[in-house]
Amino acid sequence: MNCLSITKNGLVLAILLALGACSLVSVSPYDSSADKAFTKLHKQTAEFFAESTKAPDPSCGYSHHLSFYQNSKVSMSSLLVRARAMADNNLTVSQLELLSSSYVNLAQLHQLGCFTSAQVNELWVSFDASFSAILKLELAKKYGR
Amino acid sequence: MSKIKDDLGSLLLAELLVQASSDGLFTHDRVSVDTQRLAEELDAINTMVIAGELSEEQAALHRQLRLNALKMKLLAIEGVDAIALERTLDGMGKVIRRFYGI
Repeated sequence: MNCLSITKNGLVLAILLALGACSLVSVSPYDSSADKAFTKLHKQTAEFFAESTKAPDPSCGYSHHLSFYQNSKVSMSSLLVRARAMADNNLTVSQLELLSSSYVNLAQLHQLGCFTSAQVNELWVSFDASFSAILKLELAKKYGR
Repeated sequence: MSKIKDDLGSLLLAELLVQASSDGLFTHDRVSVDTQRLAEELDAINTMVIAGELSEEQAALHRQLRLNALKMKLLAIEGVDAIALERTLDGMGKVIRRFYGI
């Protein structure tokens, strides 16, 4: 009976140790390069919105902001390639795919006409929430929560 | 043997409580708050359409942006939960290893 009990406890111990050693859920480690590139993209986007809230001017159209859209597209592409190359990084990849889709939506919206200040406020809230969510996960990888 | 089991159980429970109290494990309330906020935001977009500030086409794109933001938030919550669970398991594994002197 004692022998059985010891075997049973040993088995439980082995399972618990295995669980601790190779965790059930894996999330990729923190990536400082991605964090920096992401923060830079956030700054570019915030500057774009700040500029868009200025008084209406003739250069408010989509064609005058092509460089912003091109730079954002390039930055998103780099971030996605890097994120996809990392193992266990599906959550961050999905977040970046959604953000990339948001930039496409932003461009489509801009092609429909200049942004009003009410629209800029709406857009700023959406993009801030998106950036915060991605940063939250990235910082949780660094600090553990 | 029973005393040893009780001691280990207490240590594991203490570790679990430490991890749980550092707010990483229970996030259902945050999901419901975010979902509620999305409903309010979609309502605000509808109000802008009624007021003539947005066309239907523009409103659809604004709604899509809000939905994307919510999906990103939910993915962040899922990731933070996974990290918290990983830390909890690691912590409990350490307790067991310390207890048995491994």
